[in-house]
Amino acid sequence: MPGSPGRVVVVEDDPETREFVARALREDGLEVRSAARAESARKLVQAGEVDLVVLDVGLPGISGLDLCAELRRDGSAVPILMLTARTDVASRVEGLESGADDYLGKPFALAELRARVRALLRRGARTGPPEAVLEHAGVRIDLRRRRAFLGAEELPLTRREMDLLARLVRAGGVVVERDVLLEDVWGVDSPEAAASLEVIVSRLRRKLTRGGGASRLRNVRGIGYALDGEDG
Amino acid sequence: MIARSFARRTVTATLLTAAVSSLVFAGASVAALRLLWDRHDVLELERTVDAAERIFALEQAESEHGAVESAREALEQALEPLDRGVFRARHELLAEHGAGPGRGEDGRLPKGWIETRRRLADGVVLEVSRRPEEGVPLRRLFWAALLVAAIPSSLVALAVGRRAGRAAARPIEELARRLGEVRDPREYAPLPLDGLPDEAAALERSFASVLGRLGSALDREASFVRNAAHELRTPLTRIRLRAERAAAGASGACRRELDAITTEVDRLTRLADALLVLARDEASGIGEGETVNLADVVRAAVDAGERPIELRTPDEALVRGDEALLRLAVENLLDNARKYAPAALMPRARLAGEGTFVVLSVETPGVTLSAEEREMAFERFYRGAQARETAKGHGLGLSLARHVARVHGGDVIAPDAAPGLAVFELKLPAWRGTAG
Repeated sequence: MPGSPGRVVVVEDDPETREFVARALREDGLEVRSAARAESARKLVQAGEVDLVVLDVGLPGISGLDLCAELRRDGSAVPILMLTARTDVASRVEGLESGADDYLGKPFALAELRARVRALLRRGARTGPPEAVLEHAGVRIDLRRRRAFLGAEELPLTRREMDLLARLVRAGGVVVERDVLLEDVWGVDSPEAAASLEVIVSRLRRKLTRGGGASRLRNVRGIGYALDGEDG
Repeated sequence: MIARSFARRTVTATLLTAAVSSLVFAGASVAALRLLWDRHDVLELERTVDAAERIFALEQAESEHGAVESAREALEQALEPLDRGVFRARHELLAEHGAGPGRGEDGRLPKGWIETRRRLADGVVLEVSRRPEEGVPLRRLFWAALLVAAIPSSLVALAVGRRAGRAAARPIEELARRLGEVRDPREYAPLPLDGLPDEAAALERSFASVLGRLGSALDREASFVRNAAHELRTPLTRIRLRAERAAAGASGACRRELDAITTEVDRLTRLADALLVLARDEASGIGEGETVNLADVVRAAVDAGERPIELRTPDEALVRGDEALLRLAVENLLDNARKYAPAALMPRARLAGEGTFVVLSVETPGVTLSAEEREMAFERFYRGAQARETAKGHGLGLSLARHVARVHGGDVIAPDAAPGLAVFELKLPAWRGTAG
């Protein structure tokens, strides 16, 4: 990846919100630029000067959704975190379908925004077009429709369970450390999040083995978790 | 009994018309028949008298018999066996035939008898009376006529009435059906007016205009609420960011106050969400939604409140939907219980799967609701007597919860409960897998 992986552009039309977000991210050691309109952000992305876009949906002129879809059409793989005033499932799906990598409803907590930005930067730019389907060890996750399948059966997974499983499927059988899971899925590494992780893992494990399948959530003591298939 | 549909009213009206006219016509034709018969009898009697007169004249002219003989001969030859005939000459009886009744003291014949009297030459008088043969009794004839008239005319009336009634009712039924199918007044397409009867066209026009106005009112309302909720978020975001930022650098009481501001902002955000949800049509649904563990939602809502609630729930109760909306519904139901239960009594919540549904039952002890109050409770901005006194809440809670439930294909109901216990049930379709 060329350049330092910490160049963020914040695209938001409300100056106050924009400045708060920019300042918070700067304090995290990131190189932050601000834009009030989609057009200026597009130039920066096309010039390859950005590692992450924090993008407001409700921009005047070209909307955030339009910009996101346009960047993806042009083949840009830069991670995009969408900020939106609409938080229902339908608009989240809409955001993800336009090619956003993550989604945050307004008003948001700065701490959560920072955690998500960190998680996206760690994951880095995608190597191909946005993934629609993840598959590993007999588990298939349709990211657009937010559906997970074990074989032909749909798995009843809540958002957290799906995010956790998606993270493990993406790792493809490699062990993912607990603190990475907490950061990526919960956004914070707190005692509450750690307790929640235990609960989610046990529910996920039960759901994966209910059909008698071979997929198995392996606990690597003291390190993290991995998803094993028949071959693993 | 009043027939209630157009078709039935028309059928009733035509049937009544048919019945009355059959009655009248049957009566009239029997009366006419009677007149004809009577006339026929009189003519018959006249002919008998003619014959008797002729024979009497012949006998007198051609034979040597006297008047008495001739009269007897004439009566015997011309009269029927049951007739009564008398020849008189100046009050002197010449001849008599038959044993029928004579005139009574009042000079009248008994009922049913007819009579003809004729003056012949030389002061001879011939009187013939007869009781006409009884035909079919008139009453029976009347019933027969009525039957003959009534059956076909009723059938015709039924057929015509039904057709006419249906034809008249069809445009109205059609309008009613189409109005019944209207889920959104903005989608109503009025029928083309040509070809419609005037009355139906007028109805159609009125409804189209009412629905049109309703539709634009809905549009205005929805867009107002949407914009309001949206516009609220920008300042809310700023306030939250400022408070959070300030709290990071503050300590002690100041920090607690700032954290409280953040909490209040989140509460205000949820109210804005609530308005946004209410602005959405129930029938529009929530699309595919995502898997939500309602047990987690309920546990979190129970833990978040200041007042404890006795909770019974399985580890998982899965539904499909919008988690934020479901949290809103659950919180509102629990908040109501917290708000209205007397301090000494603990509200209860029970979550369980019931068939293909997941049901959250929230019980508020110490509160009795009449059937009327239970229904009223779901109206927007309705607040019970107690709520008005304590002046808490916005009166949106239950209607919001119900709206959210209905958007998810479920409902919130207030089942009948024992006195001293108010129960509200949130019912949602349980999670079901779909094909990949």
